[in-house]
Amino acid sequence: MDPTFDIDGLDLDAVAPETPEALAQVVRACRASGQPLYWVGGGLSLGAGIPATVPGTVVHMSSLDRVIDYPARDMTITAQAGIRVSRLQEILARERQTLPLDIPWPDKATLGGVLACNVSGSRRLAHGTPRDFVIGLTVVDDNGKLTRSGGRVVKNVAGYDMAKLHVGAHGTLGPMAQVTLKVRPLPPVRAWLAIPLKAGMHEAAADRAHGCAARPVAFDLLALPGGPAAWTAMIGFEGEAPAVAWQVARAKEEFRDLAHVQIIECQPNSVDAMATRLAERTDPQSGAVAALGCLPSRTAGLAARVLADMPGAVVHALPGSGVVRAVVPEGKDPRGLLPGWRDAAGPGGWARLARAPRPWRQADSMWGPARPEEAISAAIAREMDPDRIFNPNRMRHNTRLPDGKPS
Amino acid sequence: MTVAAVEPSVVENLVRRLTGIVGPDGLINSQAELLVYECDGYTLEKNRPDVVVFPTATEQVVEIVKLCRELRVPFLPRGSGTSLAGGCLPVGGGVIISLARMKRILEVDLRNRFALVEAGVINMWLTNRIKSEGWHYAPDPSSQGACTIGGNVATNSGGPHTLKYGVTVNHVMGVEIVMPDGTVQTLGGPVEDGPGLDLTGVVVGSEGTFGVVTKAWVRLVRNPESVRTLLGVFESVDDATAAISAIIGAGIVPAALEMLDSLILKAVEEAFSFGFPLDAGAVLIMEVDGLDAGLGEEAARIEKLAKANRAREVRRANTEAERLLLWKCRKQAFGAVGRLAPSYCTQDGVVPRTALPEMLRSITAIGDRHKLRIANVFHAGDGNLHPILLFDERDPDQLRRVMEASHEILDECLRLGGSVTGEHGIGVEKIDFMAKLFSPDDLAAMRRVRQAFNPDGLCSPDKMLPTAGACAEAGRHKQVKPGRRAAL
Repeated sequence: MDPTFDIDGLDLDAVAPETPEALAQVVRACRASGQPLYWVGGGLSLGAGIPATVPGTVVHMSSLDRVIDYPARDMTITAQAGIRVSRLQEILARERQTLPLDIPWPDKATLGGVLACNVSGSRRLAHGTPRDFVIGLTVVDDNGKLTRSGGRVVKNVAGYDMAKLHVGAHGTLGPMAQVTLKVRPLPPVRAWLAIPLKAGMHEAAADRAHGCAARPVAFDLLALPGGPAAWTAMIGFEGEAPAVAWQVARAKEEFRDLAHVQIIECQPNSVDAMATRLAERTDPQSGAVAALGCLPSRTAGLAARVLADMPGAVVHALPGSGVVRAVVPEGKDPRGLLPGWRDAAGPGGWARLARAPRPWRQADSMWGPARPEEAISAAIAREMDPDRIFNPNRMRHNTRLPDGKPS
Repeated sequence: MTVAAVEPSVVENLVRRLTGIVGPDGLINSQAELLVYECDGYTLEKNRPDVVVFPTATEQVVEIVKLCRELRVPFLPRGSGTSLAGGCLPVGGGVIISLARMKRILEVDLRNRFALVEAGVINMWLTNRIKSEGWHYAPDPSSQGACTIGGNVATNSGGPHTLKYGVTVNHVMGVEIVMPDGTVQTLGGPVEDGPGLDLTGVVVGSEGTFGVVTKAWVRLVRNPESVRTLLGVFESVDDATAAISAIIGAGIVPAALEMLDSLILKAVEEAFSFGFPLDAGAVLIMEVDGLDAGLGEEAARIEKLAKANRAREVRRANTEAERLLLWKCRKQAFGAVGRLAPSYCTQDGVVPRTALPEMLRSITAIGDRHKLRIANVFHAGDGNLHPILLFDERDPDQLRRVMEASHEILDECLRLGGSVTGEHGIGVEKIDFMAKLFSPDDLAAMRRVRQAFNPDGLCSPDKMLPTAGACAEAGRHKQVKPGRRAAL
């Protein structure tokens, strides 16, 4: 591991603790000196959130990669947070189980990074997002103490569900050391259909997927520059062989009249790689990705708006969940488009940059306009990290001024 | 904080000013009427509130909370009071804010798969409202005909079908909450993945200690195309639990997997005349759902696994009416227990699913040791047990033995790597177990979150977290008797 690491242009000393206790020790040392800590898992989300401005220590999490306990027949697994997603999936697959999140770059991404950045993909329609899988969590608090919540059983309401706060917190409330997940059986059979849509049929396809007789685990709309159609619908199925076969046949019937050319049956493995291939359209260091949210019924329209505003963008929409992601074409600064997209997203809708080059990463572009409930988030951050040592400034609730003072 | 009783002069002022907020029909404060509110479904500890107030709108809740804060009076929200853990027990008295009159379903949007409901909406009403269109609200606690969605949010309720579909937190997209300082916040909403911390996620299951949830956006789910419901009849509880392990271990996620033992069977058979075999040691309700194609094969696999684990017979519910009666028997089993004993106490332990056979044997041994009858009806697929300890609360010795046996059962759940509550909550009942489940550092982290939401501790005091520095083994429960002030 390199002795230094670049975080937002700060050349920082790096450490790589190998045990939760060693991680806790690092936190204790930095708390004593008031020095910030920056967690790095697979290094795939370094362009997320507001840039770091206060020098500190980089903590590589990927040496914390042990599986602690895997009682497969209980369908739970406990592992350290730095484990690579691909290795976790390999271990689960040996018992015909899986964590059904579609994670790009599984060879690089760490479990803790996926949770901290709340990464999800196509099959969230059926299986949910990271928050739905964490049943137990150990984090290091600002005093350098290991603190645990939840447990190792699939149903448990003892104590506050601290994991919900940490999932998506980008490490601002402390580093995850160990995670217990509930996992799912590997589906016996999977199938994917790709439907290049006739011009203007993307909204009709989304409406049809909403009420179709088949019950897909994923329904995506994809705009790929240079593809056979402006929009391609991707439909995924999982389950017992007869159910999957019936659904494939049924979906082909239900969507036939919307198809521009014939419906393609894809190899499920090739679709698994879709998340990575889409992510690869952008450079993790310099590329920009926009993310938007709206009601499911508005998703296809919003995705089309994004494409119209950024010709040549790769747009990936999940109309079942109301989520749109767009890889911003090189050289295009999308910040000026965000307010219009927020309006187009409708009530409760949002638009922000999930990842961007440093000069574009202001609080508003990365997290949207300030919202009243952020007062609660700020109060939580004040309680859990009063000195702002955990990834300071990454999110709006943990602002720390360049002079080192919490604001 | 540990609260003291409210001074009579303060109560007088409180009642006068609350009347100004909700009108004379919007509160009760006579000792006779308050009796109903001295406990919830957990009857071993009781304490009367000083006032129960029934707001009809969020604005009234705001005024009530601000008044309580001004007068330094503790307050807590209450739905239908079906908590089995004393979640609605007004420790130290004060104001119960009943959400029972905030019961409107404000919006149903099937295209966008959500409903917006007021906190007092009864769980079952929501499904009833949308079932003709082929949709439902998935969390289905056994009390769903009585409990409120606000109460479900507070305790992160489960139910038989949460095995496949997830518990309340997996279905709550956002809430409107009146914060303990009287401000109204909207957390989350029908649009997913909003930027910032998942505050909704941590409010769900916070047992009313973070504020008063007044509205919730909940996810709606399309009904499965088809359902197969099987009843496995076993000679012994041991065989039934082995079958459960085999089904889960085979990678099948049933829609529901519920066990009823012989004692429960006797009670529900007397109540509902389903035709349960009264000589069976246990039965399993095994349900799979999904598309019709292939569902028969899945049901056949389950039947085979049950028989491989010595099921005497496996029956199928042949009609929807038969299926509904079977579920009625399951969901009203607690009510039927009244036929077995004058009083009962239900526990809510959880163990890893593979530890179920061992846990059930331990429950039997504990019952024998304390000379208590214990009936079992529970969410087997989740490893979530509901041993029901039967007794007569007029006999202090029985009461003592029930307490001891309950604690031994929960200790055994912990020894096997489980938890003391799967869905009923900590409430007041299990607060002493928190220090067994969690270290002082773990609890300190949770306390910090509560501090952020509820800094002066007036909202639902003495719930969920033990008072910092208090000795967990102070033997509080040993002294508790019905009618005793719970705060002591």
